[in-house]
Amino acid sequence: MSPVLLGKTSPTFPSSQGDFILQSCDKVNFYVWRLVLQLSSAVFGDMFELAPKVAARDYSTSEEASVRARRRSRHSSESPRTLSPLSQT
Amino acid sequence: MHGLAPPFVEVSEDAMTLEALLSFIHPNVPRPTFVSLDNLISTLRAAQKYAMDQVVLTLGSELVRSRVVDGKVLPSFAETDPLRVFAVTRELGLQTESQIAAVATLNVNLNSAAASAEVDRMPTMFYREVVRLRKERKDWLKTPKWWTISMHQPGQTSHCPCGTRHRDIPDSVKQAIRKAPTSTTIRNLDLAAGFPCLRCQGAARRHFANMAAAYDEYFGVPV
Repeated sequence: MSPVLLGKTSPTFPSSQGDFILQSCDKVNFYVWRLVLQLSSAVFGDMFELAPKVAARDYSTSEEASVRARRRSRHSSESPRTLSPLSQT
Repeated sequence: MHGLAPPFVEVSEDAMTLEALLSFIHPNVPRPTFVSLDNLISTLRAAQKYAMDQVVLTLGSELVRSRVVDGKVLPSFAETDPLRVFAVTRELGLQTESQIAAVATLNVNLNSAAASAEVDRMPTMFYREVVRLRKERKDWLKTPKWWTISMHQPGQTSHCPCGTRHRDIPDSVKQAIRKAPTSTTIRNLDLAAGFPCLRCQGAARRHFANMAAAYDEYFGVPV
């Protein structure tokens, strides 16, 4: 079962209001619009650029975007750990 | 839920921090009022981590702005915990906010300021800036003209009827100014004990009002 389904959903960011889920470290799921994240955050913007390539397992071509995302996040060790479309689970 | 669930990503922030952060970028979600400085700082750090530049600026200004909580106006975090706010804003490069917080540190005793991780990790260079600012203000206040009060009465050519012509500032007043060298301190000095003669006290009040005004004019930002 997906970890997303195990967590509870934030009442402020319910499942009807988003096409992407951010899961906090205490397992609360926030449904957000990908476009909003993309426009507000350079790190998420780079990550979404990277994401389809990761899903396609095209790691060689995604290297540039990956490096850029890591550079933009000053705490690269704390960068989002996984990007896992549920279609893969 | 029908069909596939949306993709997800795990982040290292807790739910409270994440909710506060997302409320600043999502439409139709009310922005939180930060009751705790810890929560505001963790949200600010998350905004910086994800390169949400506009949110960083907004949260930075929240640090130095008065808040309304439960119908009460509360002082800004820069006033309640200036050294910590200075450490955070200086580290994040928020210039205006760090200057405001640095000036607010004049109101606290640096040796007994509340401990925090941000202050403990603050580079010595930043701490020296705070110490230098305090020294600069104290040096200005040491100007001899401020330490002797003329008891000349307005509209008269003579000295105070009690016989006093000039009066050095009492030690208790000097100590109060040295402890927190700000114009607010100067304006709110307790002069009753040091100046028993009411006319002398009035002259002292005028003297310190002029001193506070000159201070604000010289340093720019009223404290």
